[in-house]
Amino acid sequence: MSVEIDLNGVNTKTVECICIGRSKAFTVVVIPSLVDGSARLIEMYCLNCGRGTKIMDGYIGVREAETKTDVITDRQGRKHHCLKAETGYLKSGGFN
Amino acid sequence: MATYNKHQQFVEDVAEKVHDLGSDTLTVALTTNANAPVATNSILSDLTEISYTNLSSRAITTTSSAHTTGTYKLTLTDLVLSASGAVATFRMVEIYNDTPASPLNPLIGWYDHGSDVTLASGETYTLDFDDANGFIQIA
Repeated sequence: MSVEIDLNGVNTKTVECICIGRSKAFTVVVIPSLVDGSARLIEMYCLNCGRGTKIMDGYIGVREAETKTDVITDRQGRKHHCLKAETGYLKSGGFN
Repeated sequence: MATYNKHQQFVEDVAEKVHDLGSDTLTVALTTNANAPVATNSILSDLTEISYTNLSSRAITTTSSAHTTGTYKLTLTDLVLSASGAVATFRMVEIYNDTPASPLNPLIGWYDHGSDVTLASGETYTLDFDDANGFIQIA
């Protein structure tokens, strides 16, 4: 898995994960620290294959971009759920 | 993405200046599947919420509220709910306006997580709004 991430700005990034014989785009999610709200990394690893690279202290998981909801589990065994909210469209049906 | 479900009253409330979506504070409410919102609900007291003990602030930050060539878009900052202890089980995620006093706390729309969610201490629940298309659009 090859990952680049900017801890000072964007906290999500699409990466390619090559494991179990396939390649797929994932979104890397940095979980804010519960202590001070800052986003920190401890390890970046793939939930499919478990391979990863230790970077710095914090929490990290890999989240699929296509699904409605998902849950990642950090190395402390804590679950981090996510709901990807669809946009609501209120349209006037041709009114101009 | 999880489907946006509209409360019917919301469209009237938009037309009758109940909402100031550019400055009001939108907030998340959580319910169980047994107490799921329905389209005819109009205000927060229509819902049966879970207990929010051990859960962080549910207030949502507005990123932008503006139109582009006649299409209005409200963009919200992703909200991370953090558990400092066990939190009651929920499944439905409601978005309402916490600012208006009359009607009090009008509902906007809701999402179904699709399964029960139970948070233990140190766990989180992220409401990931669409950065490109926003939370809602009016055209």
